[in-house]
Amino acid sequence: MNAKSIPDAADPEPAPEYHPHVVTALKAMIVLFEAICAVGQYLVIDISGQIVELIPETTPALWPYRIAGVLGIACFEVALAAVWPLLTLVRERDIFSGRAIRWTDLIVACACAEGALVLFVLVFSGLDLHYVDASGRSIAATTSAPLFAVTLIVALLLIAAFVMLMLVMRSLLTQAIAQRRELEAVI
Amino acid sequence: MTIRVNLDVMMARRRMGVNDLAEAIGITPANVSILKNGRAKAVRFTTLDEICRVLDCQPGDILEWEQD
Repeated sequence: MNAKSIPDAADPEPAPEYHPHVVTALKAMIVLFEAICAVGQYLVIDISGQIVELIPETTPALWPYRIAGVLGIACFEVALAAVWPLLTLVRERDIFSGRAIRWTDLIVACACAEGALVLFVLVFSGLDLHYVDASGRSIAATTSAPLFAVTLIVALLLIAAFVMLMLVMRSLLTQAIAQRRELEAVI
Repeated sequence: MTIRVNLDVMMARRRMGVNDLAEAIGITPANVSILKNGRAKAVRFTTLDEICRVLDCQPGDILEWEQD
């Protein structure tokens, strides 16, 4: 209950923190970004195919990189999809009912999976794997480029920072849920 | 609970049922029952204000402290 204990006819002014149009705009953005991610996944498969055509020696590394690329984008897609029900809860003004926790956990799990994936690619490209071809020569399976490793390390740090931020937000959410539960008991 | 809410007598005196009182005060009938049965953990002063206004009584008429 709010400060007015006598019920009115429908409350004409929504609370100041209620922004239904922002929620709709954010949902539209989610759909747009999901489409971009789908295109990105297609590009990963396409471009990796082109690279292998240019540098045939990297063929053995083709599928590991493809899977890592597609999975990496998929993690982002799942995390983005988990934001949608959170926005719905915001619009219904029900964000502290406890249902938000599972979606927040899903986002954290996706970020952790993404971090593990980036770590895997980093280690895989850093292992400098070689394989022996038909004529008995040892050939490097991955082309080494320091910029690639640096980019991956930066990505890993950003993902770690994001996970820490999400964990802080999650603890704020659980505290707010507990407080609301306590306040609901007040008549 | 060592604070008892004695709504029954006042409600009988004003001939109000749970639903009537709930509507007059502005809380749900479920919450009125919770108050009556002594299961309430906390009450707002605004709610208490409304109860006293509707039942025309003092807080001391409906609130009673019992030692365990």
